[in-house]
Formats: sequence, structure tokens, C-alpha cells
Amino acid sequence: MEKQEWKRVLWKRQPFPDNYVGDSFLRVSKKCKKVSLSAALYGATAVTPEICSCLGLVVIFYGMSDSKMDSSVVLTLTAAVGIIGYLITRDHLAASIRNDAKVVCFYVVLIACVSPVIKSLTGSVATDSINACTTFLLLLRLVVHDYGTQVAIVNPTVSHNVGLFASVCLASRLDSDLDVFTLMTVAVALFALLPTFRRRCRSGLGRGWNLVLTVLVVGVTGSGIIQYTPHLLLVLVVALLLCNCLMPTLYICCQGHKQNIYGPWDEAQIEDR
Amino acid sequence: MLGCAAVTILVPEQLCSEADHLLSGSFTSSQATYDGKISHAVVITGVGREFGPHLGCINNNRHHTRRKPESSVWVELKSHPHIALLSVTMQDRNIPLSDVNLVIYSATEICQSELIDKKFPCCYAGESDHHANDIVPYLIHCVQRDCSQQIHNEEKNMCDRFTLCVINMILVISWLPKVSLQYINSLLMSRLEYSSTALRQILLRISQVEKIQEEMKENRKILISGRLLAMIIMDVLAGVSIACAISSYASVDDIYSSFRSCTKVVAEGVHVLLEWLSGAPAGLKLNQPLTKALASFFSYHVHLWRLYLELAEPVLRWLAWVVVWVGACGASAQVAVLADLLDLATLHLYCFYVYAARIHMLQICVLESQWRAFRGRKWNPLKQRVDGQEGGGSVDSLSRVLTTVLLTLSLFLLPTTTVYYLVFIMLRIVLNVSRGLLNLAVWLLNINPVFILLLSAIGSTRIKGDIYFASVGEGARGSLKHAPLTPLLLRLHTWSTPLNEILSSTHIQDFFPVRPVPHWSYILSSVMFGQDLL
Repeated sequence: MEKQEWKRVLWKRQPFPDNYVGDSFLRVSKKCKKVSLSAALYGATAVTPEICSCLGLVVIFYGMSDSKMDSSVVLTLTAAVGIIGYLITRDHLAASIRNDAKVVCFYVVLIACVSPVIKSLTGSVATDSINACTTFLLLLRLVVHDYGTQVAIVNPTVSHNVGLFASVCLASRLDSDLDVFTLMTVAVALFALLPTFRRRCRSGLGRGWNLVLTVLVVGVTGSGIIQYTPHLLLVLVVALLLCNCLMPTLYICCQGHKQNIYGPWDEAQIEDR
Repeated sequence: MLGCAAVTILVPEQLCSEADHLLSGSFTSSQATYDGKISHAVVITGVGREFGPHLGCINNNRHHTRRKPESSVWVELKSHPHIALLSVTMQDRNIPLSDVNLVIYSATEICQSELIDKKFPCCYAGESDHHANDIVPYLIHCVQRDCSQQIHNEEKNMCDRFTLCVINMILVISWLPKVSLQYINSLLMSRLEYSSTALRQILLRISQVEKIQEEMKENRKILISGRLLAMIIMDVLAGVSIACAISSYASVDDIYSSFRSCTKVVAEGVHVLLEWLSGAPAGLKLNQPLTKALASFFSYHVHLWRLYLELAEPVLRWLAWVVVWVGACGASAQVAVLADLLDLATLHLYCFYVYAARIHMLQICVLESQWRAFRGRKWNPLKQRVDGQEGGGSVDSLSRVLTTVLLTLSLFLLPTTTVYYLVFIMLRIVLNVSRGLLNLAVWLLNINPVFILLLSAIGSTRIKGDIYFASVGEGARGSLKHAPLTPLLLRLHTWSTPLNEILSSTHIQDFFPVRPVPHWSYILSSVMFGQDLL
């Protein structure tokens, strides 16, 4: 008999008794959006290039300190890649070419002046402490990096600054001023300029192209590791497996247990924008 | 009002065994607020004077009284063998003796006491405002007024005159030095922000002598001027004896050469310290380039200091002579000059401390601001709080790179500069403590209370500041049946004020130096942040 739905209004004559409780009575919203496996796997590929950048920095450091890499070659390579990236994204940039040139000049002068000071900065600290410190700082960078989500733990300033801090710690172990300058430039390119480029790519290109780019980055890093620091290969493999295979499956499995119900009894959430 | 008597008569004990004379003094009356009874107080201050309102007479022989018609109060006393009251007449009415209090006081004690009017102040404007309820202040006011009128008519004695002469001479001689020293002092304070202890002490001494002269001219109070005079004499004796002792052991040249060798030892010690710091002090591993740079900078400074000492030789020679012979101004001046010499001799250590403190302050500032910027926050000066940077996003990479670089540099260089800062601040604190001890010695020499202690030891009347009443025994005089008809007989005694009250009342702030007290919060904030200098 009661075919019509019970509505939560007082001005309508409804055939239900006064103390009827319907389904929509509590205005409950279930806040779990089910995520599919492919979406989770695709999302996890945003973390992979960051892991590769961090490991790439360590590879370059080891290469230069073992004198297997020539610092001027690295420097020219970085400059070339930087210019190419700048030319590609020039349309989107707000500032003029003159401003950007000034900024680049300032970077160069600053890092060149600071290099000799950095060279002798950690002379009194043990190597093991430096290694532990750098590992911890790079992990911190990966944790608080902005991957495109809006979570409270994300702090792009901290991730950027911590990455540079780690690179200063590493660079203080090198021997010549040019080496220090090179490593700092590479760090600035990897941690300050590349994330913006990557974000633009991810939003601009389609899924397929993004996957291709990710595989390319992993390949380059892998070859670098094999050539210069073979002992880090295991780290790379474990990190990639953890990040790309284990974590998404775990997330999908545990999704079913998430039962968040939000209703009018919750505290008001103030948007801090 | 004493008891419920209508009239209180206060009589000096000097009247005992006086001949028949007229009595003079003053009287007042007031009405009690609660029951409307009028009470009177009559103070007898003098006997045998020709002028002034006469209030009564001494009538030993019981002959007919000569009553003055204009006075409304007439008191008749008997002075042989004891002081006793014969009759009291108020406004043509004879008051029954049982309604009268007779208080005997000692005029000399009240005249000479200098502290009694502080304890019982008589703060009335004119005669008509006096209240008979406040008998003691009224008594003190009348007696002391009478005393000062008598003293005006007397002359100063020879001793006072001689002291005043000597003091005037000293002030005239010291006028020119005082003006020049004041000028130098103000110059030092305004240009270099340095307050010289020796100049302050000498100027203080001159102002103390001026105060003595002012006090001695004005009135008969000797507490303050006596304290200052005794203190100055003791100080000068101590200073002259020290000067004679020093000059009998060594000549001025010897003193100067020992001073020079002292400063050489200090310079060598600083050099050794700097060498130690540029290595690995106490096993700490410092940043080598930085510590070598700082150590060489400070060593060069020590080298400049040694040059300065050699150039300033004649001035220092003269200063050594001054230290010994400024004892003529007092031992406190010698100690003060010693404190100043200590400052001069360790000027280079003060410079080092200033450099180290400024570097430390810079580092703390940079660390604090860059640590905030590192986490993406900034200081909002409008609201005086730290803000997050959510809505910002306009911070470009360049400032972030700069922040990181600055933070890293400051963080890793912090131990080195902190070690230097700690070393120099320890030295500075040691010097400040010794300077504080010397200032304390100057203060102690200046607040010498030997005069007051002497006065209280001999029980002088000048320091009696308190009053109590005692009843005089009636047992021997009069039998019981006369008891209701005799007046209440009391005696006013004086009592010494406690020592600390005398000392605090004679301690005038401007004429004694300030007690050196460490300000702990200032010291702590200066050590932590390096902004204010010790």
C-alpha cells in the first residue's frame, strides 16, 4: 500500500504514521568511494618517478665521488635538459623571459658562492651519520611530497626544502668545488623544477603516455644504478615493488573494511581556504 | 584625651625647685565627637619669661595669686619638694583636681630628639586646628617650636663655626674640578655609554659634602650630617693610610711595571686560549676553516691591543700615580679607580665579547626565521603571530633554495660559533662579577653607619623616637582619703628607636650610591639571544 517514498517534509500529507522512521531519516552519507584496482595502480605510478629522482641523486653522488663521472658532462647534460624543459613549458609560465633569466643568474651565483663553504661544512661529522641523515631526509621528502591529493600531511615547502637539505649533506662529502656545484645544480633541477614539469605532464597527457614516461624514467635510473652503484639495485627493486604492487593491492583489499558514515551529529568541518 | 579627665596639664620636670615665677606655654581644647565633652590640654614650656602668654605661676608660699585677666587658663603649681598641682582655673571656673591629669615630661629630651616628630607628626596648619585628643603630637610641636625660638636667639659655638669654615673651603676648592668632572662624565655617558665608577664616586663625595654644609647651616639636626661626616672622615683616613702603606712598600714606577707585566700575562693567556680553540678544544670537532678564520681574526686583535698598550704608556703611568694618591678622597675612591682600571685593562676582551655576541645574535635570528620558512610558515607582523602558508603559494623556488642553504649553513656552523661565544661570555661574566664586587665594596664604604652605632651605644637623646607613659608612685604622698581629690600623675619617658629605622630614615637616596644588584632576567636573555650586551 505505501508505494510512495517517505519524504522528510512536514507540509505534505503522507500516508505514514507520525512515528515512522524511513531510510532517509538520518541523512547519512557514506563517504567511501570504491576505487578500482587499475585506478589504484595508475595512481601509484605517481610516486615512482619521485623514488627514481631520489635514487638518481644518490647515484650521481656516488659516481662523482668515485670519479667515475665527469662533473662538467653532468653539468652540461643538466643544463641542456633544463633548457629543453623550459622551452616546452614556456607557454604556461607567467613570468617573462627576462625574469627567468635573472632567477637563473641568481641561482648560479648563489650556489657558486656557497660551494666552497659547503665543501668543508661536515668535515667533522662521520660518514655513517651523513648516510643515515640523508636516507631519513629523502624518506621524509617522499612522505610529504605533493602527489596531487589533498591530504593534511602534504607540505610542498617541506618536501622541497628537505630534499635540498639532503643534497647539501651529500654535497659536503665531495672533494672539489665543481663537484659540489654540479651536485647542487642537479638537486635543484630534480627537486625544484622536475616536480612541476611532471605535474603538468600528468595533467596534460593521457594515461598511456604517462605510463610510457614512467617506464622510461625507471629504465634510466636502473641503468644508472647498475653502472655506478650496484649495491642500490636491491633498494630500487624493493621500493618499486612495494610502491607499485604491494601498496595498491593492500589498499584495495582493505577498502571493504572502511565504513565511514557522516551525519549531522559530526562536528562542523571548517574549510581553511 | 587621657582617661576621662577634662584637662591635661603637661609640665617640664625642670620646674622642680624653681623659684616663684610666671609660667608660659600654650593650650588648646577640642570637643569629643561621641559625647560632646570638651577636653583641654595645657602645655607649659617656659618659666620666668617676660613676653608671651602667661598661663600660670609657681606659688610655693601660698600667698595671694596675681591673676592675669586676659588669660582664660590659670594654673598654679608648687615646685617644692616635688611638682604638685595647686589649682586650675578655666574660663573663670575652678576645675576639681580629680578631673585633671598632670604629666611631667623632660624638655631637654624632647628638644634634642630628632626622630620623635617623625613618629608623632603634627600635621595641622594653624593653632586653631589643634585637637586636644592628639596630646602627644601637640606637646612635641609646642616644645620643639619653643626650643627653636630659643636657639635662634643663641649663637653657634666655636666648634660648629670651625667645621663650617673648613667645609666651605673644601667646597670652594672643589668647585672647578666638580664642573669639569661632571662634563667629562656626561660626555662619557652620552658618547660611549660608559658610566665611570671613579667619576661617580668623586662627584658623590662632593655632593655629600654639600649636603653636610646644607644640614649644618639649617638646623640643629646632626643625625644626617653627623653620619655623612663620620663616614667621610673614616673613608679618608682609610684611603690615606692605604696610600702611605703602598708608597712605603713600592714606588709608583714599581706599581706601573707590575701593572704592565699583568697586562702582558693577560694578552699571552688570550693568545694561548685562541690557539686552543682553533684546534679541537675539549675534544669537540669544530669546522676547521671557520675556527681558523675566527682565531686568526682575534689574534690580530690581541696584537693591536698590545700596540695600544705601548702607545698609551704615559697615560697609564699617570693613572698608576692617581690610584695611589686619590686616597685623599677616600678609600672608596681608590676602589672605584681600581674598578675603572680593570675595565680599561680588559677592553680587548670586551671587544671580543661584542663580536662573538653579535655573530651569535645573527645566527639565532637566521636560524629562527629560516626554520619557520623551512616549514612553510612566516611571521605576520600585523597580527604578531606565525601564519601558515596555505593561501600563499607565491613563494618561488628561489627563496626556498635560499632558505635551505642559509639554514644548512647556520645549523652546521652553529657549534663552532657557540663555542667561541661561550668562551668569551664566560670571561665577560667573570669580569662583571669582579666589577660588581668592587662596586659592592664602594657601596659598603659609603653606607658606613658608625656614627649611628656610636649614638645608640651611648644612648644619646637624639635618637630617642618613641614615647611611653609611666605613673609616678603615690604611696609616700597623701593618704587614701585624699586619693579621689588628687590629679592623675604621669611621667612621659622617651625610648630609643630601633636601629634599622634610624638607618633607613637617615639614608637619603641621592647621597648614597645605588646597591649593585644583578638583574637575572636581563642576564639570561642576553646570554640566550645575544641582543642586549652584558
